Amino acid sequence: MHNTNAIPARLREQYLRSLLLGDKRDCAAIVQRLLDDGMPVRTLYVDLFQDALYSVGALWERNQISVATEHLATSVTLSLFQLVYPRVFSIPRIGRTALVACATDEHHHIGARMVSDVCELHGWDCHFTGSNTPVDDLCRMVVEKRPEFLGISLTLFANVGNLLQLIRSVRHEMPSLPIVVGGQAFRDGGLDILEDFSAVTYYGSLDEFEAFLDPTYRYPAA
Amino acid sequence: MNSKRSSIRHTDIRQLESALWQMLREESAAVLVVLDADDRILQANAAFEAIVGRRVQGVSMHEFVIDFHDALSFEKLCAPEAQGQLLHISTGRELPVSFRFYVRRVGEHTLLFGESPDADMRRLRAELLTMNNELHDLSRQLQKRNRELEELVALKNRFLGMAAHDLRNPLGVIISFSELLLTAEDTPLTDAQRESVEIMFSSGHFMVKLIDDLLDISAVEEGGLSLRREPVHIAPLIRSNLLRNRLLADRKKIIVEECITDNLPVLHLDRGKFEQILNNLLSNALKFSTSGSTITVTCAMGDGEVLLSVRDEGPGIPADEIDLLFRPFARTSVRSTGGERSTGLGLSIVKRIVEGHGGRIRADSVVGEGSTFTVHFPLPEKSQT
Repeated sequence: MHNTNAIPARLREQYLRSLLLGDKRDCAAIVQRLLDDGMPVRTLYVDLFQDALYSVGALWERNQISVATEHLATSVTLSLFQLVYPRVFSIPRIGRTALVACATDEHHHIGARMVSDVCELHGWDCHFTGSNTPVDDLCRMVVEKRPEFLGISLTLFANVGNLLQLIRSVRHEMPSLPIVVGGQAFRDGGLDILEDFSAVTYYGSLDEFEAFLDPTYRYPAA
Repeated sequence: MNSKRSSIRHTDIRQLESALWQMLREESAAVLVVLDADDRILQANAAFEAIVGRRVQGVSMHEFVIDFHDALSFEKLCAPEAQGQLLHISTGRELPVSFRFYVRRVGEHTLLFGESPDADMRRLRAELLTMNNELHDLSRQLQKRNRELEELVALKNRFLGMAAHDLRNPLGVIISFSELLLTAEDTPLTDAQRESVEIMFSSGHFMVKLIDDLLDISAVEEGGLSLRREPVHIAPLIRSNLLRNRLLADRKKIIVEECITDNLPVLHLDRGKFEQILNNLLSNALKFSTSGSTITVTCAMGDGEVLLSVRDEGPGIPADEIDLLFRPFARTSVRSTGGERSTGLGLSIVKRIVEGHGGRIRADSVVGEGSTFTVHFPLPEKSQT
C-alpha cells in the first residue's frame, strides 16, 4: 500500500510519453499497477490523467503536437477509465443524486467525467450526460432525475453563450436547483457573466468542489 | 474612381479564369474531370490522376466509377438531386476514395467536379469521436448498473438465506409432530386422517429439501463456495453412498449397478459436498427412471482426471433443453415417473460444487434411451506426474 498519495515523477513522465505515442497498453499497465498498489482514484485522476492531459494541451497550444495526437491522448485516457470503474462504483451509496453535463457544443469531456466519478467516490449517485449536451435533453434529464445539483463543465470560453442558455433553460424548469460550473474556460477570468444568476457557483478546483459535496472534506496536504 | 478600382476588367477575367483553371488542374485537392460525349476522359487534373495512379486521357470514366446504380448514368448524375452525392472512385491499388460530385453538361462535354474528401474525413472523425464517447458513456452506465445489480443479488441472497434459515425450525416441528401422529400406537388414525398426515409429512420433507437447496445456492452465490478439502479415497465413499441410495431405488424397483475402478487416486475433495453431488445425481436419475430399469454409476480414470458418471434409462432430455438443466429453477419438459417433486436447484448446486473443485459436469442424453451425467474431477498435480 502507498503511504503517500504522490505518483512518482518518473512514472508520470513514462505515462505522458506513452500517452503521446498512443501506447494504450503501456498506459493501462501503469494505471493498473497504481490501482493494484492501492493508489486512491482521486490521485490517479488529478496527478496522472489531468496532469498528463494538461501537458498534452500545452504541447498542442505550442504547436508541438497535432490535434490528432491530442485526440488520441483523449481517446486513450477515455479507455483507461474502464480500469478505474470497478473501484469507483464499489463505494456505498449515500442516497444523494447529482447530474453532470458538458455544455452544448463542448466536446471536452474528460474533466466532467472525473467530476462525475468524484461524486460517485463520495457515495453520490451521479448521472453523466456526456459531451455536447443538447439543452432540451438536459432539461428533460433534470426533470426526470431530480438531482440535488447540476454540474456543468465548460472548457472553451467560446461556448459560454451555450452555457448561459443552458442555465436559463434549466432555471425555467427548476428555479431553485443549485448549479455548479467548472472547467478550464474560466481560468483567465470571465466569471462575472455568472453573477446575474442565483445559486450558480463556480468551483475552480476539485478540492473546492469536493468541499461542496461533503462539508467534512479536508483538502489533501500539498 | 472607386468603381474602376473594384471592378475586374473583361480581359482580366479571361486571365483569372485561365489561372483558376491551371490551379485546379495542378494544385487543387479537389478532382476535376472533363468527359466527351462517350464518357471518355478528355482532361483530368493532377489530383484525379494521383488518386487513380495513372494517366487517364482517353480512358473511359466507367473504369473508375464503382458501385453506381445502373452503371454510370450521367443523366442521373446531372439531376439536381444527385448533386453533392458520394461517388466512389476505384484507385486500382487501395480502397476506393469517395468524393462529393457535382456534374455540369457543357455542350457535348461533361464536367465533373469532386469535392475533396477532407471535409468528409473531418465529419467522419467527429462522428467517430462522438460514437466513441457515447460508447464509453454506455459502458460507464453498464458498469454502474452491473454493480447495482451485484448489490441487489447479494441482498437477495442474504434475504433468501435468512428466510430459509428461519423457516427450517417451524418446519422441523411440523415434520416431527406429523411423524409422531403417524407412529403413535395408542391413538391410531383413520385412513383419511393418515392420508392427510402423510401428505403433511412428505410436504414438510420436500420443503426442508427446498430450503436446504436455497441455503446452498444462496451461500454459494453470496460468498462463493466454502470447501473443506481433505484427501478422500472415493471408491469406498461411492460404495457406502450407494448402499443408502439403493434403499430408495428398491422402493421404485430400480436396479443400481456400480462399475468402479480399483486403485483410483486419492482426490482432495470436500467429502460432504462430494456426497451431495452423488446424492443429487442419483436422486435425479431415480426420479426419471421407471420400475425395472437400471441406473449405472461408473467411476474411472480419464486423461488427467477422474470421471464419475451416473447413467439412467429414463425418457431422456430433448437436446434443446440440455442447457436448461444447470440453471436454477429452470425446468425441462420431462416429468418424473413417480410423481416426485423437484426444487429445480439440485443440478445447479451440483454444477457449482463441481466447478468449485476445479472440475466440470456434462450431460448427454438421447430421448427414449436415457441420460448420462458425467463429472470430471481434475487430478491433484502430484498424481499427474
